[in-house]
Amino acid sequence: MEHPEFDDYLWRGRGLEDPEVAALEQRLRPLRELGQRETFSPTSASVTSQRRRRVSHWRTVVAAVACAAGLTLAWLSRGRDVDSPAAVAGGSGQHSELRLTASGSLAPLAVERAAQWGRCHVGSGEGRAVVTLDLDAGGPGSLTVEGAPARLAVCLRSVASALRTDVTSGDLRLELDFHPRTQERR
Amino acid sequence: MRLRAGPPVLDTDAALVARAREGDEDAFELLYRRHRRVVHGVLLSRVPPREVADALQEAFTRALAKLPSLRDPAQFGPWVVTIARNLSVDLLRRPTFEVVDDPLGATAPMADALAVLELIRQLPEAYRETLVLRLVEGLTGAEIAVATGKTEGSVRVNLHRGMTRLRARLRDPEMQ
Repeated sequence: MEHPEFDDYLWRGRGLEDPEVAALEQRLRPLRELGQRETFSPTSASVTSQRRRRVSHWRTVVAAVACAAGLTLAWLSRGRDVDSPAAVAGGSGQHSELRLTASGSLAPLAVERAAQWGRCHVGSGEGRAVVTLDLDAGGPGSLTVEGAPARLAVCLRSVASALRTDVTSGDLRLELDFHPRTQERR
Repeated sequence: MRLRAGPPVLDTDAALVARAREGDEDAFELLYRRHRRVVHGVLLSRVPPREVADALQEAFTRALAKLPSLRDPAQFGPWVVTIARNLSVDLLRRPTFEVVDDPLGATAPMADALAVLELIRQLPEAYRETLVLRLVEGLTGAEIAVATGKTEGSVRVNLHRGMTRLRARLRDPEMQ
């Protein structure tokens, strides 16, 4: 052992108690339950945020819709070979399409964020999803994300997170249209 | 004759991952419950405390989405820890936001705990995670090694050196 004087209590948490370490454990104890949830519930994240952020109604809607859709997509993807070599190489494989249509004053930003975060998480590095952007300046925008459902779930979750952290006012409506299908990749 | 039930047979992580891949939500829930404390500690040592609740759920959301790509299902624990570490990097890159009503630190014990945590978070990265897992989450050194994929020797050194530095900071009035 590199340190023969190493305190056994610090390593094992029992035995001859080191008063200083034990006192620290006691002081830090309140943090143990901070943010812990008994169950896996990703959709509750947006609800928690409302208590501490200036969350306007649209952002709540965005987060809820995106999280719910993301979770749904994740579970739709269960058991599927979303990482199949064919899909990665761009050949025939499991293929899905999600169309996200945004309207309202914040539509351009929403679509921009969706594209930005979508690329960040499902972009060329992983090569399993394609994000295309069709946006008229200042008007309604639409975003089509194609790829494995599991990747889309990550994309949507990230969009929701990004949107609710950097915008404080405005209005936005999102419509999600999901089409699981199997077809030849473009 | 009285029959006695034996100890419950616990599913291995590999078995739970296999079931989760087949769409078994309960299996993933079990994986969450089994590993959430470690992931919580990893996040607590890296992201702002108010972000931990969301980050914990997001880490497992990412794990769920990436489950098909996990090569060795028996390594789910270290794998989800890696996801949490990468997530914390992503979160720190995102734009900061205004905190309007911060409920954290509302009570004296929590405020004190956050102050000590802040001292830990100022330590070198190698020590932060190990100390939080030991002092906050209550894991033993051996458990930390298994959970994070580090060697026991590495954890021993990090615990010892980290604690030495933390003691010094706690005794330094300027650090209080």
